[in-house]
Amino acid sequence: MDDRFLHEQRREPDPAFARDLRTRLRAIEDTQAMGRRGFRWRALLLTSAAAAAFAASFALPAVRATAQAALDLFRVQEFAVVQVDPERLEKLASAKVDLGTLAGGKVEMLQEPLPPLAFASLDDASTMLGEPLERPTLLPRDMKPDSVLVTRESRARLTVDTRPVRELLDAMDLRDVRLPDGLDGQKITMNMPQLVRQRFVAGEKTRAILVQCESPVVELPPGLELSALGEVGLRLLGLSPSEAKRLAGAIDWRSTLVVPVLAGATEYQAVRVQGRPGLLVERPKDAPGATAGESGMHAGRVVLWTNHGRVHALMAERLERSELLSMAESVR
Amino acid sequence: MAMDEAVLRQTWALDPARDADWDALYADQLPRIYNFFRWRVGDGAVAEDLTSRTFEKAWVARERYRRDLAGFGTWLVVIARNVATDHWRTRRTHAPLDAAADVPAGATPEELAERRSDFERLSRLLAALDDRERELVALKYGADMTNRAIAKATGLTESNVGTILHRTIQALRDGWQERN
Repeated sequence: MDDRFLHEQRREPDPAFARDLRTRLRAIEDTQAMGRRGFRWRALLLTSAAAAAFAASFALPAVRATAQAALDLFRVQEFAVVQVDPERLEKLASAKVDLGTLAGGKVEMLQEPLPPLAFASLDDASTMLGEPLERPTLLPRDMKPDSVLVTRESRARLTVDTRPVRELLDAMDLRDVRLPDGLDGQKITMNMPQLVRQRFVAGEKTRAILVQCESPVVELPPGLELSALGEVGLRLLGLSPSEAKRLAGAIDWRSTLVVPVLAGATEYQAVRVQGRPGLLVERPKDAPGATAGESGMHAGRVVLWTNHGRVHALMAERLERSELLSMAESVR
Repeated sequence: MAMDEAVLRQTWALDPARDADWDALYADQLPRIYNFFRWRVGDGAVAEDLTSRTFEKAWVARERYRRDLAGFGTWLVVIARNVATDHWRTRRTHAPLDAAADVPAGATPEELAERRSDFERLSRLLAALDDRERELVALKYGADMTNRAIAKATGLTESNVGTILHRTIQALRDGWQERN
């Protein structure tokens, strides 16, 4: 036994293992890149089904916990957009309040997620999961399926503690905002579904990701003033008192996923996908902040829709709006 | 640059060149980390699982190393060492079961020895080392690090690393010859 013998004991990792791990890491990369700033909602749809990951959907700190998760039984059926001022977004991000903080650290995992599964194809994933999965039947240009990542279902329960929310309101100088009484100690149960994420590529630059899952379901004790909670969340997002009150009263908080987008950098419009109402959010190539010839500032688009109780998000870079919508329309 | 521009520049930023770097970095670092764990905990699914955990932890926070890919490799090793420590801590809790699992029923030591590859035989010897010795060997021959890099990573002096490795390899060599 010598130095050479010992060095020769190194082995290359199994190619299937290396490929699967790379697929999972790409999911992290895509989620980080496509979800930056103006697309915070992505965490709810894209990240691991773990409650820890669900907590990331509260990256706009108190907002999600109050305006969105606070429902006696919440299922996503439709979407509403709220424009967020970049400066407010920075303030909220720097506050670093997440789900655990809001719950005073009282987050209990009722069901830990199993490790994510990586597949080379949707057929492989469908076979392994034992259920049919939807796919686009029409792909633009040279686009082809790349890989599939499945994150597993999980369940968590948190106990509400309003103290950090009040502190956050104070930090945001929102001293006129009042939280409904009786929130402290309330139990919220979050059911995060299994989430299937299929990646498509065309060459090295164009990519698309189709996410499909059953709606997350959030259970709350009955009797909470949902619109009042929503109004608090909207104030945290930067809406004026009158705007927040008007919008909070107009939203059905039991079925509407509020999508914060960056004011001035994104455009959005209601669309119909497969005959269902959906939401198209775009960051045009020439949006403020991009300079001529600058790389990494390509047009990005995402379309969200629900159908037969399933939530879909199709996001892409370097695809035209019509291509993205056609691809979404073809999902079967 | 105004603050809001800084925010906007990060929106939808997907730089292909940067992606290519991550692909290359992954291809470069995966064997190092995987082999570190092979030497640290043995071949098989556990080494793959710990490798996955290391990369997933690192990838979540990878962007802070975007402009210092050399630093990223060092950081990966730091994470891998922590993951290994956590693994051993957990494993010790279940030591009786794990130990039992190491001895397949119905196989004599001679039969097992015949079936084992060099690395499997080596793993038996590695298992007899103490934590520090095994970690240094794993860093040297698994992660393919120099004594200087190991010294930097572990806080030991370079000469101390050399001494421990020399002594450890001698012990492995003696054990190897005894088993032959």
